[in-house]
Amino acid sequence: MGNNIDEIQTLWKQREINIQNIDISKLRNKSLELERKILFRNMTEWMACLIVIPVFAYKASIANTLWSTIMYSEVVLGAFYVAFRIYKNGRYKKEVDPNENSLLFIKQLKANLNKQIRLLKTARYWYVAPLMIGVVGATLEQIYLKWNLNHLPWGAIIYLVGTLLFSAFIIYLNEVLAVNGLKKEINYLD
Amino acid sequence: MNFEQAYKEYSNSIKRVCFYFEKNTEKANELNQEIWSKVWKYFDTFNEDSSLKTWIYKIAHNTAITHAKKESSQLSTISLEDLEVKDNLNQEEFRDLLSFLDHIIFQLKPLDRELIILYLEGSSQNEIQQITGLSPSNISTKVSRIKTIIQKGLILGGING
Repeated sequence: MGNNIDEIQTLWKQREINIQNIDISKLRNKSLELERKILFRNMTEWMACLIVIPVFAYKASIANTLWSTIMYSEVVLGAFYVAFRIYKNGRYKKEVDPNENSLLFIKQLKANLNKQIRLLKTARYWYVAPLMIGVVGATLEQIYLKWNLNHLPWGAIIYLVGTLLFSAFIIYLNEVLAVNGLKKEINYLD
Repeated sequence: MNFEQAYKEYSNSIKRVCFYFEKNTEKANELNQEIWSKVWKYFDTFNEDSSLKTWIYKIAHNTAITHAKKESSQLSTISLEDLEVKDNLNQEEFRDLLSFLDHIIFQLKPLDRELIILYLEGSSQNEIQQITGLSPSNISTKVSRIKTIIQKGLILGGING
């Protein structure tokens, strides 16, 4: 080899890398900012579900029929359940353990990704169904009642179709797109 | 050694880790910040069971792997064993050794990328073993493969150091 390894290593270390120096005095704030960011991301994922609760609790309280009350209450309970599942099993970013070597770290990272995949693959059962059964049930009742009064319930029909399409889209996002993205991440780590 | 001294000693090495895990300068800067924030956060827990260098490199490499995995997963990467240096290297493209090394390193899977960076940083086999967790025989095989690749690149590309 024309260049021995010492020369190559020297050349390597002399290389100028265009990355800014950090401001040590601001590290404490940066570190806290990073922790806040992670906390906020984890919070938003399940807080979004909790927004559904007051809306459908109100709808249940003013519903005209027992069926509607049951259906809207189901959405409220479903939202609690989904929020709980996301909180318990949701996306989890593995924190770096300074005492772990990369082989172990990657192994655990992959285990976490596989856990997320298992969760996402069943999104239609634990995420979409608990929220949508009540909405679909209440809408079907509206269609039925209006139909009996000889009205064409176009508004309710469009709402039902929109709900079903939206559900299919959520299932696709979780079970196909997100899962494929995570599989690529695992492949990269292998 | 206090934190400021550690930063002074290892900041350039860590910058190289960031550069080779995040090609985009903005992302590499972000990664650099994240690594040093973590070193700062855990600094008081360092108990000298290993060297400070090994300890900081572990944090740096594991943070880099996590940071880069989402975007790098869109690219196809290969292992050192599967890497081949083409016989028709473009001499315009690889006008020096560093651009050839860049070409090699950016293709590699994270653990092999980590290993070649540590090797070029001059880390000992024991340090590489502690940081990566690879067995000594595995490291020897991979290092020997790295040497062969560099040699082939130098010959085929007519590259000058």
